[in-house]
Amino acid sequence: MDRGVAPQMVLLAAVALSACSPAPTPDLPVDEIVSRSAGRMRSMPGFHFLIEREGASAFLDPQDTLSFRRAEGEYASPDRVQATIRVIAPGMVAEISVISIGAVQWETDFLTGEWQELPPDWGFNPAVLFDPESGIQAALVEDLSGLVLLGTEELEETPGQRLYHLQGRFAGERLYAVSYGMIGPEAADAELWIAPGTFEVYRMILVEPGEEEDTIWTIDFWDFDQIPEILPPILGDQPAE
Amino acid sequence: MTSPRRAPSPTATIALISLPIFIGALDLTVVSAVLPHVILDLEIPLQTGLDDAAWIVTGYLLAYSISMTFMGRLSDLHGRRRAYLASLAIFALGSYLVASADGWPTRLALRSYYSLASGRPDPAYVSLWMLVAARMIQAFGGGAMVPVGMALVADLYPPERRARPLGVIAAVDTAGWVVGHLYGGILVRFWDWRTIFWLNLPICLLAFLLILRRLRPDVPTAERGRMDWVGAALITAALALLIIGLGAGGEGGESGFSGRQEGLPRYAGPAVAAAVLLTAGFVWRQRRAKDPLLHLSLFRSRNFSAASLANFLTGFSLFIAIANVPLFINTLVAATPAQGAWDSGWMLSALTVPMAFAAIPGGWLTERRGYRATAALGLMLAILGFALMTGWDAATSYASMAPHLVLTGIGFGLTLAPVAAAVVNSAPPGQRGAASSLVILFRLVGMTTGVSSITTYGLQRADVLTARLLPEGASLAEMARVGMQVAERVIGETFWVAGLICVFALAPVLLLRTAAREREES
Repeated sequence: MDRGVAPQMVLLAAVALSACSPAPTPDLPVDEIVSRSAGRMRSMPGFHFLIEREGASAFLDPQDTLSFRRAEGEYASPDRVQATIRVIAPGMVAEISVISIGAVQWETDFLTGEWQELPPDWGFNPAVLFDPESGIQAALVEDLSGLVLLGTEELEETPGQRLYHLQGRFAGERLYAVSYGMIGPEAADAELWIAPGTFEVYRMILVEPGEEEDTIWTIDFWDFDQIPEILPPILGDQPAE
Repeated sequence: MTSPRRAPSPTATIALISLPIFIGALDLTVVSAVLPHVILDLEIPLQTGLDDAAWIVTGYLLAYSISMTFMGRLSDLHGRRRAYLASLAIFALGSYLVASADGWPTRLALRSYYSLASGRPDPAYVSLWMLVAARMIQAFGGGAMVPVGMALVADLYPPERRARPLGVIAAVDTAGWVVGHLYGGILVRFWDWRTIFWLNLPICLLAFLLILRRLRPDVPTAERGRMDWVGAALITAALALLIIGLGAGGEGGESGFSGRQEGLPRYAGPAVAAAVLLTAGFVWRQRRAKDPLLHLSLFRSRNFSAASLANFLTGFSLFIAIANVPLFINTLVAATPAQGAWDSGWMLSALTVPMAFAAIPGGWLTERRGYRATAALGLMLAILGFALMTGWDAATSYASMAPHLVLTGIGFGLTLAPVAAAVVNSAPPGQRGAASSLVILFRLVGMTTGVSSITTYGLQRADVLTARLLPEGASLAEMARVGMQVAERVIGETFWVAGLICVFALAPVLLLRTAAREREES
């Protein structure tokens, strides 16, 4: 290659790359990274989420028969969530669909698949879990302590994207309240993966110590800023009011 | 100088090829017992995943049928031993992939997905579809071994002595898939379900080495020509769409996140229509191809056509029994699902074990009394058995059910050998592989059609009867009582249907002629 052209090509490539990549982030203190990240997640109009539980069981009911396995769904700000929750019952695996709009929540019947409205304050409500003011987003700023930046790394699910990898400790009281007793109330070790530049949280891992086995919660977020259409379900032949 | 290798006796050859055929057939039904364990282990949800999990069975049946359409023909062209060894190797590879499906194949699939798209595919479903794909590879090898094995045996005997060895192969094949559920049930009581598939590997390796060493190398057959890949693609697509379309009978309608729709999925009708069109395309292609996959002239033989039709109808009828006997026991007799699985496994053996054993005297009788008398006797016994089964109710004891099942099983067993021999003996030597494929293929298509259409009929009929019998505002106890009543009636009706199909099968069977008469006529 012509020696005169090479530096220009490099410069051009650098300009092109800087146009495609997130704006370079200056070296920020970890508290600042998390604070910006919480602000970003709070202001987001919508996202897709996946919550997975591994290790010791976490039960959804007082009789300890329905163990939470995973929930995948969509959130639309400020208070709409639709999700499919997978539970493990003795001898079978089942899925329940849930729609939450404000304080009203509907769920599909375990056996018939028919939608039904749940009584107020019935229990676990994903809309509460992702409430911008009191849910996970708020917990990011208020409940995390002992934060350490471990470096940057890629997640298998987002190849080619370097993310901040942070470690800290979550106070469990808020999570205990917003998860209706499924997570917490003891403090849990936490790891976070946050995108430099955009400060979107891609993954949170919480490790709750257990008597025999730890419970590991992995919460993933993607499709940031996409607003899903979340409507009341059809009850019988009529859409719910 | 090397001494020429002594060819094994025909009996030794049958023994050599029988073991892999048995294992391949065993794996067709082994999953019926282990499916609940697989579903739970992979965390497949009950409501949304059962239809998909059914593809572990249907996918095997599909690939098993597809490989039969052209592997027999490939053996006509490239040699039986080579085709048989290739089939065995494919089966072993598939077994390994099934056993490890939720390990590295799932991780690899997920990584490939992440490099192409955003989102998070559900690992449970990725594992499930990896398992289905692996089962299809396994079935492709397993299905091919039967027609190639039959053609291999047919090459060793003159037409008048073929019925008995073909009866043995048919019996081994049948014995495999009929004891599969019991074998699976016993294994999963003690070990992980994957053990079933790991166990296939040493057996396949041993069989591969023995066949490689003991079976004489292929000698060129008189048949020359090329493989009709277009025809193979057409019949493969037709079978796939037929099974997908008919299999939709048991599924619900499509639904969005917040609503439900009843009825058949939208793709069911077009899939069956496309299958019919593709079959017509296959026939058109076979008429024009220089080296067709299937010489349609074979259907000019009365025995070939009649036996093929009889094979289709017996497959249809047989699978109604295989599907509905466990359904009857699970719904009306057994106290718990676990007990139901165990009891229905053993009770089904009362049908299937006599069927496998009766195939051997079926071959012997055919050599003495001809195809027609033996097959007609078998069908009449099966009709009698089904007629007795229509009288079952929730109070019927297993001791009363067993003789009815034995009778039906012996009936089907006696029918297998004469029908198979009538088809294979109608084909010239160079087309025996393709003809042997059709013996099994027609039975499998009959089975698939039978189970799919009877499921659709059963569900619709149950809805009608429930609406008629259930009083308004019924209590839970009344619902349960009506449910039992409806199940008893619907299953009883399906046994009548199965018996009636056997009566229809008598018509083509009565058209069968002796091999000598058939040769004279042709």
